[in-house]
This record gives sequence, C-alpha cells and structure tokens, in this order.
Amino acid sequence: MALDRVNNQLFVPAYGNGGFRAFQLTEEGLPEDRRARFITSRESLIGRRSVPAPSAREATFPGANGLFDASTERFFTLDRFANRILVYDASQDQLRNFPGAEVVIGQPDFSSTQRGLGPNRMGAVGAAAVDEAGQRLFVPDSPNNRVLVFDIRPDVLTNDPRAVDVIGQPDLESRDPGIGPSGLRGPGSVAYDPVFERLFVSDAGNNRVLIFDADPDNPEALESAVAVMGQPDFMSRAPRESLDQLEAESLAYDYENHRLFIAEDLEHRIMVYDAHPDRVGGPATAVAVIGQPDAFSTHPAVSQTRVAMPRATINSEAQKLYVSEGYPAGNRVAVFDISPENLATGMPAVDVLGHETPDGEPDFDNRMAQGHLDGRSLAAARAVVLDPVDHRLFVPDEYNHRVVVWQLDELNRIADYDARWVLGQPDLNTSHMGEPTARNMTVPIGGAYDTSTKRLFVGDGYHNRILVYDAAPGMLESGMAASVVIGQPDFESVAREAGRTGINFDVRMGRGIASNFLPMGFAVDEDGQRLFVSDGANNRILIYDITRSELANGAAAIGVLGQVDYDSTAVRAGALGIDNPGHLAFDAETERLFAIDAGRRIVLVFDVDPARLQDGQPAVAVIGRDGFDAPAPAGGGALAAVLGTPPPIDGSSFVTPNGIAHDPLRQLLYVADGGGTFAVPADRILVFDVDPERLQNGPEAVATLGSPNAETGATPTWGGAEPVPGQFRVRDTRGIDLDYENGRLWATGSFESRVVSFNFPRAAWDYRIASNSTQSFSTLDASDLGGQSDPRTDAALSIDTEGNAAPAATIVYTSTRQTVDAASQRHSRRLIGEAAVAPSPPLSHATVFVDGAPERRHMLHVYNPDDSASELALVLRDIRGLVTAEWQRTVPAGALLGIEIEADLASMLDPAPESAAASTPESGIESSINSPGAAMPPREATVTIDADRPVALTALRITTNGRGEDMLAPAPFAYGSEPAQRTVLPWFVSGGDQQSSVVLINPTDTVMTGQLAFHDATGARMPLGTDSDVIDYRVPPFGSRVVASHDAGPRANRGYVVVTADAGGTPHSSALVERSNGGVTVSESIVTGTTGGVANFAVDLRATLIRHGEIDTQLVIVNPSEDVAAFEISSATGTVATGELAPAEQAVLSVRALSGASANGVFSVSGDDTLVVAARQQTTNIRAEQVDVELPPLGVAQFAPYVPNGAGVATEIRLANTASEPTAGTLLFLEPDGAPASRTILR
Amino acid sequence: MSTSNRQARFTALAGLIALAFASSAALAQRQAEVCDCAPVSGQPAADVLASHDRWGNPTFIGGITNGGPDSGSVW
Repeated sequence: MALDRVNNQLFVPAYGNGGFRAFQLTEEGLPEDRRARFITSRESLIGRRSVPAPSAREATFPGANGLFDASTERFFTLDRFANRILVYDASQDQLRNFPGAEVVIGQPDFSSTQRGLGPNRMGAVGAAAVDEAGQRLFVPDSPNNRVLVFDIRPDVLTNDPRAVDVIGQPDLESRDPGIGPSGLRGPGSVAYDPVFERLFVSDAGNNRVLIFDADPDNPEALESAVAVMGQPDFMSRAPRESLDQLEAESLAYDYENHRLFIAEDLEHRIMVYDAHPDRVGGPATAVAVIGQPDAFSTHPAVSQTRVAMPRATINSEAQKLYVSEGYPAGNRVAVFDISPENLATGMPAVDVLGHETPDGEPDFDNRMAQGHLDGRSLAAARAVVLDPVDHRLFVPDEYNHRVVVWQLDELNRIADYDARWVLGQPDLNTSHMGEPTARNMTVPIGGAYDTSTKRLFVGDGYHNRILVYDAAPGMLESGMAASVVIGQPDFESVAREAGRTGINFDVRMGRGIASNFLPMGFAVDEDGQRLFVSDGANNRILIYDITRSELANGAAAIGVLGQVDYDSTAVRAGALGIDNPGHLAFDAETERLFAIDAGRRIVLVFDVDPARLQDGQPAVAVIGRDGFDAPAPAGGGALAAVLGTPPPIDGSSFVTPNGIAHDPLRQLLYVADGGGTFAVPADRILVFDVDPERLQNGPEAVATLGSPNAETGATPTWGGAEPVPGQFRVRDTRGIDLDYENGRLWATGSFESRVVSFNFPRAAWDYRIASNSTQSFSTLDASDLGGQSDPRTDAALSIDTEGNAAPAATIVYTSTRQTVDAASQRHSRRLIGEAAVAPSPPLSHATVFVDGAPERRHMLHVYNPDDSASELALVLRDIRGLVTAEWQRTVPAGALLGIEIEADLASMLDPAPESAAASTPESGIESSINSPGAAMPPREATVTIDADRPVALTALRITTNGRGEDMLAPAPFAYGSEPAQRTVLPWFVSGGDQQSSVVLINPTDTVMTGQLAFHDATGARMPLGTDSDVIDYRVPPFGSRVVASHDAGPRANRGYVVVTADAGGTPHSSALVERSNGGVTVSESIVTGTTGGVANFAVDLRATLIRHGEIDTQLVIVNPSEDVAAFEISSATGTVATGELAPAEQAVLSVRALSGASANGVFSVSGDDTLVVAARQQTTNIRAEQVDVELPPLGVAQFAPYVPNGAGVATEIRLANTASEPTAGTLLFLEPDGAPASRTILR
Repeated sequence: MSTSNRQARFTALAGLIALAFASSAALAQRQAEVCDCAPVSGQPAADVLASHDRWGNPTFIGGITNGGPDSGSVW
C-alpha cells in the first residue's frame, strides 16, 4: 500500500495488472467510497498472472508495494521480483493515465532484473521508506545485510542511481552480516520518523529494531545506531522467548504520537510500541496489540477484531492504521482508529476496503479475493480426490479454506461445471476464516477418500489436523461437521507438534505454496483400514488405524516412516529418510506406498505390507534418481527468480515432483512434476511402469502428459510471454488422481486454479445411461491458440448396445473459432454454425436437395456397415428433374466415405470434360455427364443415391459466408416414408434479418402438385414475406421446388406452412431459415418438424467447452386441426408446462423460461396426434449473434456415418434413454477404412 | 489417491496385469468396466473445472477476473 497525502487516497496493490487501485479517503482517513477511483499501470481484467517481462509501465511482482512522496508528488513502486524500484510522476493524478516510470533504481534500464552488490544493485528490495524533507530513500537490502540510501531529489535522480550511503556495512561493496550498533543481519523493513529524524531498521536476523539518528545534515550518524529495541544491548541477538516480546518484522511509524507499529506476519497481529526518543531502548513491551485479543494469541482469523498475515500503513494526520491482508487471508484493507484515546488491545476495525454488505456497509467477515466466490471457481487447487464409486470429485481449495465437491456422472465425468457441495464453509458463496471448529478449516491442501467406508480425509493445514468426514451420499451436506479429528485432541486445538499424536504441517511458513516445499499427503489402504499421512515439517509419514470403531479424536499413529521414532524430525540420509514428504499413493495390489520426497526431488517406494512393516524402515526403490545416495540434480529452488545451472529435463529425473497417482491394474505410476510459475523449467506429468517385477531405481518414464514429451521444458515465465497452459500443456500441477477404470487422470493446475481431466484415447467408449436421462459425449476439437491443435479427422460411429435397450441419439456438429478477450486474456469459442442430425438407419435410397450457389458445398457421409462393399449410384437432376450427371462410388465393407458433390462433379470434368463416360482413377468415380461444363450443380437440384447394400447416410450443406466462415446445416434430405396428403412445416419466419425458404423435394417418379398455405401464429392465412398466402407448386419426378420469402422489413413475422397435395402426395418439405447481420449470413438452419402424439428431444442449455453463449431451446407447437388441442411438456423432473392450442394456432415455448438456464435432459412434447412439433436450439454466441439449429426428434441410434473432429469442428453425441430401466453399451469409433479409431478422445 | 477395495475384480484380472502392459494386443481385449486405453504422450486434456471466460463459458484458459478498474475488491 501507499498513502498519498496530497490527494488523500490510498493505493492498494492490484494483483492482476502489476499496479495499484486508488481509493479516495475522507479527511478522517476513512474510505470515502469503497470502489476504487482508478487503477494504475493498465486497465485489465486479469485476475492473476505470473511474472511478465520487465517494463517501465508496471511491476513484475504482482503484489508490489509502494511509497508516495508527497513533497514532490512521486510514486515509488517496490518491484521485488525485478529487484528494482520504479519512480513515477504522480502529480495531477498522472498515475491514472498509465504512464511509464520516469526512473528506475536498482537496474541499468527498465528491462533488466539483475541481482547484485555495489552502489546500484541489490540482492532484494525490502520495505523501503522515504525522508520527504531530506529527499532520501532508504532501501533495505536483506541478502546483502544493509540498508542503501539514495538521493532522490528530482533534479539529481536519474536511471540506475548509485547509493549515496549505506547502513550496516563499512562500504558499498561489503555484505557480511554483523551485530553491534553498526551491523545488520537480513534487514527487511525500515520506517522513517520525520519529526525526530530517526530511521528504524528491522534487523530481523538479529531479532531487534535498530534506531539511527538520520539527521540529513549529519550523514555520519548513520554509521552507528543510537538505540536498540527488543534486545538488552547492541551485542545481544537471541530470539524472543515469549510472544509478548518484540520481534523484528515489518515496520510502520506514527510520527504524530511517536509509536512504532510492527506487523507480525506469522503471528497475525500488529504490535504497537512507544518509540518516543525519551522512552525507547532495550527490551520493549507493546502498549497495544491489534488483530488479536491479547499478546499471546496468534491464531489467524478474518473478522472485525482479528487480522491474518498483516502489513501496515499509517496515516498519522488522521490517526488511522491501514492493515492489508493477502490472498490466504482477508483480501482487504482493514482500517483501525489508532488515536491514543481509542487505541486498545483487540480493538475493532472501524471500516474495511474490499468487502461490503449488500446494504453498502463494511463487511468485516467476508474475505474472498476479487469479491467473488461460487461453485465454479477455485483460489488454489493443490489436490484432487476422486470418489469413483459414488461419482464425486473433492478439491481442496487452499485459499478459500474449503473443499469443493462436484458431482460426476456415471462414468466419473464432469456432469455439471457448478459444484454441488462445500466443506469448511457454510455454502459455496462464502469464505470465512475463523476459529477452529469441526466445521471449518484453514489452508486445506490434501485429502484422500475411503470408498469402503465412504469417509473423506482432509488435511487442514493451518490447524495441523486431519478432518474425517462421513461423506456417504445422503450424509454429505455443505458446511457439515467433521466426525473425527486426527493430529489434535479436539476440534479447537491447533498445536504444531511431533510425537505419536502430533502433526506439523507448518503451512504458516508457506509450505504448499511452492512445489518443492510440501506439507502433507494422504493415502488410504482400504482393506487394511490404514491411513498414510505425510507430516511435512516433521519429515515423516505416519500410519493410522482408521477402523471406524477404533478411530477417535487425537488418535495415535501406529507406525512411522522416515524417522526411527515419533519424536525425531530431522531428515535421515539415504533410503531411511524422507525430506518434505508430500502426496502419497498406495498400491493395494502389492502393498506398496509411493511417496513424494519433495526435498530430494524423488519418489520413494516403501513396502508397507503389515507383515513386514517396521518403524523407520528403508524405502525399497527410488524413482527420479539412480540410487538413494545419488546426488540431487542441479537447479535452483522453486522460488528462485534466477536459476543456477538448469536441471536436466528428461524422463528419469524430477524438477519438483508433487502429485502422484497409481494404476493398480496396469501398474503405472503418474507423477506430476514441475511448477513453471516459479521459473521451474518443466511442467509435465510423467508416467512410469512400476510393475514390481520390472521396477528398478531411476526408471525412465513411459509416457508424458501435459507436455509433448519428457524432454520438453516448460515455457519460460521470467521475462517472457505469459505462458498459457491451455489444453495440451499443464502448468504447476500439484495433486492428481486417477480413475483407472475409466481411463481418466484428474490434474490440478495450481496457478490457474483449475482442474483438468485427461481422458486416455480409445476406439470403444462405454456409455451408461440412467432411466429417462441423457448422456452426452463430445469430440474435443482440441486447440491452443498459437500452439498445438487437433488436426482434422473424420470417423464413423457404430453403437453396440450389447444386448441392452438401444439408446436414442442426436448428433450435433459445431463449428467454432477460438478468440481471446483482450481485457481478461481469457479464451472463448465463437460459435459459427451448428447442424444436428438424427442417427442414420441403413438406407438403400435417398434424395438430397442441393443448389449451385458458389458459396455452398454439399457433403454426403456414407458408412457401410455391411461386410460386403456397397455400390452407390448417384444421379444429379435439375429443377425439372432432368438428369445432368450420373456417377458411381464404392463404399468398401465396414468403411466410410465422404462425398463432396461439387468436388465429384469437378473431378468428372477434369481432366477430360469432353468424355461422355469417364473413369478417373484418382477419384475412383465412374461417371457420365449429360451437361458438360457443369462443374457446379444447378441452382436448384437433387441428388439421388441408390445403394445396392444399405448404408448409413448424413447429408450436410456448408455455406461460406461473407466473413469466410463455414456454417453448417443439414441438407434437406428425403428417404423412406410414403408421401402424405398433407404436411405441416411448423416454422417459417421472414423479416428482422431472417428469411426462409420452403424446399420441396419429390423423391418419387410421379409429378407432385398442390398448394403451400402460409399462416401466422394465430392461424390466420397471410403471406409471410412471400408473394401470396397461397402458392401453388408443381414438382417433377425427382425434382425440387423452392419458395422463398423476400420481406426485408424490420419485424420478424413468424408462422407456419401447410403443404396440401393435389396429386402425387406432398413432397418432402422443409424450411431453410437464414439469419443475417449487416448483410452477412450468420446462421443457416433447417426446420422440418415432426407429427405425432409424442416427440422427445435431447435438450441441453448449458454452455460447453465448444458451445459458448446463452443457449435456449424453443419448442414450436402447431395445431393444424380444426379442434382445440391439448399439449404437455415434460422432463425428467415431471411436467414442465401444459396448455391448449386453438385450432390452427402456433405456440413457441422457451425451455429456458420454463426450466431455467441449466435445463438439460429429455424434454417430451405430448398431446393430440395432430400436433406438429419442432425443437429449435438457439445460441446467442459471444458476438451476440444467434445461431439456430433444429434438434431432430430422438430416434433409435445405430450409426453416425460422420464424426468429424479438429480444425474448428467438433461432434457432440447426445444419447438418451427414455426407458424406465438403465441401459449401457459401447460407442465404437471407426477410421475411414473401418479400423478401430483408437486415437479417439471424447469428453 | 485412495485405493478401492474392489480387489475381487483386481484379483480376477491380476493374471492379465503384466501382459496388459507388455502387450498392446493384450490391452486390446476389453475387460468389463475397465477401459482398453492408455495415456499417450502429448495428448490433449479433455475437460476442465473452475475455468471459464468472462461470460461464464467453460474454457481451458479462464478464471476469475478482477472486477475492473473501479472494483471494490482487493487481492
């Protein structure tokens, strides 16, 4: 924070943009408005980011602190990661214009990040202070055991200034730690007293605060302190023995009343000391404690009287103390009145920035970052725990102090992006940090689940305990109390201890933030009812008997690994020790325990067979190194901003191993390794063969996930582009868990606060659908903008019902383009076009409408399920039904064939268009063309397909719009049924940027004649943008006819069309509906409708990874009869709506309006047999354009001859089981040649 | 990281374990309720939780935004 006394505003770090938010204060120092006035550095919506390239405009360290020099109106950004201080002109609110810094201190230029010694380099930038009158900047340089003094007079300060003085060292090239009045050891913070011209230096390594006479006219005075606080004399440096004694941490000074405030980060309080020159010196006793009820309480909590991980800024004139609390804590600035008459231990805050009640009052209890929390967000995902039996996923959400629980589907896939339950908090929208109880937790980082007893074990970091929840379905409730606590005698205790009953996760020291400094890990031996627990700071793994009847609060461990007894905590050497143990995996098949040893960057393998297990026994194997005594690979620590020798990036060693999971069936071990966030040069999940017959020390990984291979390093984060771990890459993966039965790995993305699933490729995908339910599968169309993406592949789908009831299905093809939102840097998919088709039954004859518009192509996708080849005879006819081309194609047995009509015609013309009967070997097309030169179909035409063996067929029309985007729609397509005497097209619309065409196809060899009658929604006959309300038609055999609207008015007139035959029955009829925006066609859809007593549709209004936007499905119902007709709309939850339609009336009902924005499942429309129904899915995409698609009524699924994936196209397979019993089977995907498509990945 | 006690199924399949890994042909024989599949280096992730774009659509590159320049929230 920084206090601007000129404009009376408080600058609070804005994490995502490397700058600050400016909050206006009143004269009393209180927030005038709890919304920021402006933001500095840049206007972005980025919520979190890693270290960007250094520049003049913003800090590289997202939580940088600041200083304001009121005398010259300059702002100083202390940019810790870049070891520099940026100096900005802050006059006239200049900071709101995103200026670049004018000067950089500590670096030669704005792009450098050097660490060093000397007059103009620092080992680190500490909490500095400004002497405004003397124009000096005091900068603690902790690694060099000194405080540098810079002359910051505007007329002399230029880039890369040299310090003019140094405190704690004899010269600017020395860095030895020292004691006495002139020595310093790791000073981290300073504060300046402008009244008595004193400098307070927090000499942390010597456990004292030194006070220097900082008279600017007497620079020699800085050579030796005049007083010491916290020690009896200048030569003493013992740590405090009691919590009511001084500890040297972060300083702030009140020059009005001469008080020194010390913010104790780990004790979660601010100690207030009298620092008047007449009364200071020697051991110090605080005059007040802020943030805790007394001088001995240290528990972190976020409330009006408690603080957590505080930093302090003082407004002396207004006598206000501003306490900022970081990410794990309050995400707020609490304001305390520190006037002498009000100052008291445990006093309440008077206001707060960051959290407000709905009534606009300060909210002292809430603490979520960004003012937002729900069931689809995480603050830091460090672990993931799968319940494969009852299909739930538990994710400890470290900084929100909760465990978020998602319900999965029958196949353990994501059923809903919104979580259903939460533990540790009362609900999914609340984040409190309070006193320990059985219902809350602080910094949960790990967990494990016992499917046999349906108990969840959660590692509650700050409370050094394991909470045991009875989490059986029906018992699990949000905010429920844990049943048992391990590691503490009761739910109120939080001691950090060793021993047989103690645990020391020690997350207060930051364990768990970096990948190589781990606090905990868990694994359950279900058969043996043992719980293995990594006790991080005690460098041991404890074993507990968790037999339900035996387990009680404060349970004693029954075994220990890594230590010979329960009181030792030092790391032992070789196979006997374990250094910072983390996540664990247990193999019940071989009674082996796999343990992350984060300190040595290895995985240890222990034989934990109860018959052989002994306390302190050695590991039997090591992964990540050739032997237990082999040296650790080179490389800096995970938090090192500048690495030493880069570690090897290969498949046999780890950089920072973290998550671990085991496959007992295939004997594979998965180990998450890396953490590119912190300049660690790898991010991957390595897979090892750990079959006991083959496992030797230092094995080579057999596969790598989240990275192209084991040898590929992570995208550099330091000074480079922001790495974007999209779909092909992972970053900072911590906990993982494996669903080995369904072939799925769950992996945390810790920095991005996400959890991804890797579904292993296969040709056969199981489906298991509950009664009256749907189950959707989708190809991935995987793509990382600017990176890797799925190439385009086509497959066919054959459904093996395995003797069970066949499901119904709808196949939806979706075309999208990825986009980046510049403000938030989030990726989205812009929906371009969709087409939905019913699965195809085997057909021998079909007629498809085509037209020769230059922007259009027509694709036939044919799958031959027979074991003999099928010969296709294709005939192109013009509007009169005259043959213009004929050709043949062969579909081999079991294979699929894609036919682009236009391409076939072109290939027939080239290279020998004059040939009346050509055979082109390249295409394999046997052809004859009756109208040479016709490379395109006629403007309105049909293609008939006759197959000598039945084939499955899908016909699509692809229209390239004025933006060059390909929109998809089913091609009007007739097969099978006998012509009716009357057909109703339930939807026709014209005007308001929509136009429709009635497409009539005569699939017979008899002329069809009749009338089209256009009706509005009330049933009244009227033209709907057409020439007349009744239009006669005549369609020759195998010919077609199109009747288009041409109303361009601003209002959409909707209604329906009745087709009545005079002769030959009604043609196959459909409506083509086009939407346009600014003259560009943005959607093309087809509406056919269905007639009958019941129509079922697979509806899903939820956005998917492919379909982004606001989705609705409109149910269109027409009563073409002369009587009132009743209808009912129902879903799995029961009746959704009922109603009556007057004779000839059309109704349009929104599923979103009826059932909400997340409606999904089978929606049935039932009523009189005469009703005509259509379901139109409408998605308003992120471009605010509407894309329409008709959902065909659900029919029995057997084949889908076209399953494209990649290059912007994905296929969704919506299965439905409308029966009262569950059903199951297999989706078998086939390559074009009929071989199993074993590389298929679905979600 | 827990291990199920559904050992009966493991035991029934135990004889296949070594073969399953050693031979892709053996892996091709599907076992009831256990997929015939294995991780492939460099394969893409299939799904994601807790990651969405500004409009709430799930996406692999997403996450909470900061509330804008005049936000009242702090972090």
